[in-house]
Amino acid sequence: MTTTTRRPASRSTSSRSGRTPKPPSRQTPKPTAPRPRSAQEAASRAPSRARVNESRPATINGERISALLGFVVLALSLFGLVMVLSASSVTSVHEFDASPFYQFKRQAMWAVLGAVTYVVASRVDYRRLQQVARPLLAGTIVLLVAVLIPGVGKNINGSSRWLGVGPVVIQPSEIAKLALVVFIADLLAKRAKKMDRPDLTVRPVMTVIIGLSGLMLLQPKLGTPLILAAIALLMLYVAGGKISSLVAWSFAGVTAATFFAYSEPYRRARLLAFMDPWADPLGTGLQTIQSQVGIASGGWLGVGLGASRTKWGFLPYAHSDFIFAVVAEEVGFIGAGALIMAFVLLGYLGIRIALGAQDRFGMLLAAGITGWLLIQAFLNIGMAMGLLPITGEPLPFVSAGGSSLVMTLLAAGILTNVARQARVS
Amino acid sequence: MFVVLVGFVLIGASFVAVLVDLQTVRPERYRDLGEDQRTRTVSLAGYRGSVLDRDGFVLASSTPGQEVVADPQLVEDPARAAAILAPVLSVEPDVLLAELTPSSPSDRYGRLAASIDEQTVATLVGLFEGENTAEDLKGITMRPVEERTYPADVLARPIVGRVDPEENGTFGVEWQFQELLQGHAGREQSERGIFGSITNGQSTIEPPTQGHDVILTIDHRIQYVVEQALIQHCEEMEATSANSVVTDPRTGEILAMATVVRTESGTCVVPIYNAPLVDTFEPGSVLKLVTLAAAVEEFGYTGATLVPVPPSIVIEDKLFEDHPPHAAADFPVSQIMSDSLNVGTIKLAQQLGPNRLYSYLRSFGFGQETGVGFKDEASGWLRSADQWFGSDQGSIPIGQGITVNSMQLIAAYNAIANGGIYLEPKLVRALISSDGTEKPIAPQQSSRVVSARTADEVTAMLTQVVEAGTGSAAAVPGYTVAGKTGTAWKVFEDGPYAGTYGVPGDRHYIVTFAGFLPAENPELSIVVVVDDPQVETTAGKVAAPVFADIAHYVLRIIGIPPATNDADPQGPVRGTPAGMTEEQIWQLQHPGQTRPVVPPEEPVPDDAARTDPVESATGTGDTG
Repeated sequence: MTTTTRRPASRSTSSRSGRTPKPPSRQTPKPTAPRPRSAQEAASRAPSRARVNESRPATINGERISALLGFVVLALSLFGLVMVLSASSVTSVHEFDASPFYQFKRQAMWAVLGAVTYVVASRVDYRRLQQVARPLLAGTIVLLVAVLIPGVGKNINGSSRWLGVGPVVIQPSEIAKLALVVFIADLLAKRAKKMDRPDLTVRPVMTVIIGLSGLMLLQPKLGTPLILAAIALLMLYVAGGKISSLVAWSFAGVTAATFFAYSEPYRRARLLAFMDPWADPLGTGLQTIQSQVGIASGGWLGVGLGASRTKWGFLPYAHSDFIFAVVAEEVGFIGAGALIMAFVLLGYLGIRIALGAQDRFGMLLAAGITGWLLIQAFLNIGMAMGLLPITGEPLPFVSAGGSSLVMTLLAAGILTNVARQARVS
Repeated sequence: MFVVLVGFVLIGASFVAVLVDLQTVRPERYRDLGEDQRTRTVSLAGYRGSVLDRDGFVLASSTPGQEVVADPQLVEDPARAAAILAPVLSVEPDVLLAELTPSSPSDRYGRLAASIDEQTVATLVGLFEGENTAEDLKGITMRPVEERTYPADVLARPIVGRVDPEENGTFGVEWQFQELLQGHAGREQSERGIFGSITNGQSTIEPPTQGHDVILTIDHRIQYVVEQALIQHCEEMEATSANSVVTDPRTGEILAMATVVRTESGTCVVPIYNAPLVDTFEPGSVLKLVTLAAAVEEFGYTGATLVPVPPSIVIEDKLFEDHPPHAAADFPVSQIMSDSLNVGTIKLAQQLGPNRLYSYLRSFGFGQETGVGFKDEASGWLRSADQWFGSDQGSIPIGQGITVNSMQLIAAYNAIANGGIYLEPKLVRALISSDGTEKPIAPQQSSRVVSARTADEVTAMLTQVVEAGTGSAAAVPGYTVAGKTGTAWKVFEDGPYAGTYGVPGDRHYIVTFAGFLPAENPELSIVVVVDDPQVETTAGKVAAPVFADIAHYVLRIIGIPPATNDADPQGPVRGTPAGMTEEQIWQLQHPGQTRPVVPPEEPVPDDAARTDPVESATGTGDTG
């Protein structure tokens, strides 16, 4: 609470008016004026062990960064829509026996919803999330349990991951990512001065991770727990958690992941297939190999939008999990490299936003969201390139999948809001 | 926080690096796999050309067919599939079951039917798409194949040849023109995904090339007549084999070329080898043509020119004499020919000398390939003059110590028939490409070997052979036949007489008749060779009648009218046509008259009576 109550006025204004809070910097720009509160501000942040430059607090042009972020997110989402149309049209016709636009239309619907979510989130004060952090987590847990109840959760291909009616289907595990980020940001912001006490910081976070992971492993789903754990470790690190404790938990996490990977035959097969896809090129190694076939076929400039061959049934989930392969094939290294660079740029902007956040909750929220988006993007791209095992995590903003798209746009909106409320630059 | 940013940048940079490697530096492995897995290659049939006779009668052709094949790995219930297919394909279910059951885990091929008709194709298509049978017949498919068919069956088989299962000619024209006949399959490559043809995928078509058609000079009707005549005479004479060539002497075109061989059961059949070009033998007297033609050419002789002929002559250590024996006397050249006098011929050869005789033999085509270009064609054995030793100067002029094939013989006789111009025999009339254009064939070699005057003189002598000599059985009523007999002893291949001509009473013969007609304006030439006849052993009794038989039919097939006029409605009847009694011949020669009780003249001496092999024990191997 100490860090979040620095500007009660600003907070109350925004919460009362319901309008987007105007960063003070815009109202009273004083670029050349001395900042009398800087020392006090620094002092208020002093107890935190957050790994940010304490001596020279970062200041950012919040509007410019948020606009840049918005541009990157918009570009990724629009590009994603194009690629989903390209990658899904063949399966729409041949697997769903429908119009080539069948899956694209659903994705476009979710994109519209996601765009609204993004705009709203970017205009609602992110600090209000602190109040709903725990209910949000509790609600997520309820949904994750509901998914497992036969008749409530939708079981597709042996996995109970979905909830919903008709075309509106959501994946609670996607919601869990945001819920976790909000929860950890809230917890660590509140316990900023107790970062040297793992029992109050690292342990509760890890307890939540274990709980969520346990529920997800029952679906079963291994990729998301990995992301959750990675996000948690990143946030704990940024917040100044004890390195020794983080290392210990990391070790435990890796051990647990290895155990789970090996305990289930199909996961073990996947892991082995990752190590040697050519051992079973038509079975467990199929996706890894076909994904790389797509990427390799692209060359420098790609085969042209819509001209992917791999999507003609060779690569399953070409429009969702493996859309990167279709991107690399159709627009080549130029496009795929730009896509990677776009995510790196997103990471850079996210970190700038975190550094410029007006409070500790915002900083942790921005770091957590940025970490989530980047980790998931790298996990997905690494999987498509055969560098990482297949986890089935979508490429943020790009892959087909309503829950993922809406939740990542929501997260991007929150990130934008953090940026817009940045400290005076 | 900086660490996190650095982490993002490093991961991003490493991903970009991997991307560069995978997409641009070493994309081959995956890119090639992609190309392989989506490229469908469909073979476009390039059919083998046809072999046709001179009038377009099909001797060999290729037709598209369908074979039924199975991938045993994909067949789920072989027994059920076999049960469904057995009645359709008319194959025993057990046979199908064996093909449908994988013999090993890698067995992916089974052939259920080699070729099926259109109705069966339709039935199968129905089954493949049928609701109840589609699943059971998974893994079974039809595949286009090319079927080589020979509508005339064994007719002309040694000429036409055959192909092996890979459509490569193994002998005959199929072998000789393999390169031209064979079509080259084209292919169409297209991109195909699991879901079907890739829209806007690339496709390339290599058009197939169809093989050329080979049009032969053979006339299938004449070929048939010749084969049947050979079969009949081969069986009647109990010969080991017989062969014959029929040509048009004006063009050198081979109208028929036939071989028959005797089987164990005593019947004679068409084999797969083409004896007229492949088999060589010592021809005997039939080769005297060259010696006499050379003498007429070189010394300006006519048929009436008298040559002193002793009863016998010794060359080196070998005695040559005539049959029957005669006293030393002057004989006209034409009688040396018609009575086939060995000593007279050798005297003429001595006048010529080995060098001149050798050069005539060469220019008449002996000792070299005929130019037909047939597989395994034999050129025969003719040593150059400087290698003639011992009795060669006596033997070679009368057709011993030299081997020839039937085609060389007919080509030499054609040179006389054709006014002294040697024409290379010709088997192929035209090579037609699939677009209808004619591919030029090697120009026919021709050369003048003797003057027209010589050709006329020799023709007159050959006419005498049939009219009053050894070849009278070759006569054909209504036509003047010119020709020559040859009766040669065969060298024993094994047994106590291996390497020799045997002894009196134990000999094998090879008998020949070569000739042409009508002598005034030759349009047809025929050579007949009968190997080791048992019933009769002389050319006059074995080969000459075959010649007459063949000529009889062929004259009618190609429409050569007999030389008749109002005063002579039957035309000339000369010699003793085979198969006719003396009475019938007299009636032909004297239409409307009654034959006197006493024949007006003695019958022409029988060829056999004058050529008792026993008599020639000390002399030559030739008696005809």
